[in-house]
Amino acid sequence: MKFRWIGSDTISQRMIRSERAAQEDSQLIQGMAERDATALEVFYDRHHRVAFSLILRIVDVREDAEDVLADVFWQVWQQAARYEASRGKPLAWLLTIARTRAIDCRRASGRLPTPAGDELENLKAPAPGKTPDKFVEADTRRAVRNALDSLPEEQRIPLELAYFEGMSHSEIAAALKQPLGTMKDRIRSGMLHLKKTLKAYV
Amino acid sequence: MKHLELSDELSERSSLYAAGALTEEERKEYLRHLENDGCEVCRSAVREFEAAVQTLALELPLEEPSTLVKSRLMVQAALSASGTTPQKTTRRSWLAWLVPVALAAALALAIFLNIGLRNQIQTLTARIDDLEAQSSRQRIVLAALTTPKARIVTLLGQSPNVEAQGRIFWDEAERRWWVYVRGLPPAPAGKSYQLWFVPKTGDPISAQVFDTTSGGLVDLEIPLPGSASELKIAAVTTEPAGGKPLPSGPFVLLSKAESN
Repeated sequence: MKFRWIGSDTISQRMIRSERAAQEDSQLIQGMAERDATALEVFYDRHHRVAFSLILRIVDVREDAEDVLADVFWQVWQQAARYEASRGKPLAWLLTIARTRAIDCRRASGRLPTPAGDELENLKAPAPGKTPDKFVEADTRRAVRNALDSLPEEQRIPLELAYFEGMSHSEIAAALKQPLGTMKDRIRSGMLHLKKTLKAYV
Repeated sequence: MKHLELSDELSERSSLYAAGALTEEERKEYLRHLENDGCEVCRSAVREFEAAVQTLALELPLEEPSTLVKSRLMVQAALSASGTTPQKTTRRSWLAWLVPVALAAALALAIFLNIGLRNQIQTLTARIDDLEAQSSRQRIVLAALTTPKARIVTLLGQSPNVEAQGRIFWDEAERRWWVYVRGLPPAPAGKSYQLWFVPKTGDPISAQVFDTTSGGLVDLEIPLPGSASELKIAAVTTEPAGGKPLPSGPFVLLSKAESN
């Protein structure tokens, strides 16, 4: 019987760090609910890069992305009192808001796509990471990259079209010329894969 | 309706919701189910899938927004925390909002500086007045000291103004007194100080009715009255405002008796 003692400790430690970060974020949200602007500032400093990167990826226009970023953190400030930890970690909450607003911005600008040709090709070649973010540990980024690399392309592309491009399952099926049921199943399988492989990081 | 367990269909629905892949109509309906039905099975599944899919964002190349975004946000938050409802602004309207705010701030600063300058001018004017008075006293003292035949008469403070003192520089040739006094508080309301030339014979002669400054100072240049002859003493009394023909009030300053 092999004991992966070191590996288990690493996973435990990682989960502990992840939980600690989530607790700190929860305290910051509590501070914002009490109208502590310093809490907003700290929360912004922690997570604005990852939120902006997501928004920019979706919106694609820097000026619009900055407007959306401000709106996202403003919404966090306004709704901090309504945040419930039982509904997910603060970072996930933030990124959900960021994605929703970014997609809305794209829709409002009429730029919501049906990606074709080059855009689909770009989805097939994921971009390398650049500037490290001290609030996203290097091993987390590595794990995410590995998880995506291990995701079959037929699952990763529909997932990214849904998440980054705001496309519905039927739009994705039409764009990729695949049956609707197949697309739904591939998206679900991709999500299950991410959930399983990145459990210790989320 | 609350679900009792997560079927494949429910798992697919929750994963599509978390990925953002539902149609708009499906998304609204599912959101209603999550929020209104209190279905913990679906909520839990969505929570896990959302946590997983947000890792896609963690993998993106990191970009840095303009620092104006944070500045704008913090100003809005500060206004909000103070009870003021800030207007929603975009970066473009932020500048349109910023310009009148900046102008108002500049105007307020100009007014503040202007008030500050006026106060400074008033202070400096008062200082100039003091310096001119000082200069005048110094001219008097210098003139008195350099007069070839100046006599000096010392005035001593009388109770309760024992700290008060004075000097009379007497230019006998010019029949002129230069008088300066220190440490004598201003006369009470309705009163004046009066300087007397008290001859060896005859009644005291009024030399000058005066008052001191708030600093207890006065300097005078007085032509001696023609009737003034041999001086016995010089004195200052407190009299009704405007003085009296003869001393009636208490002594505040008194010289030693002169001996000839």
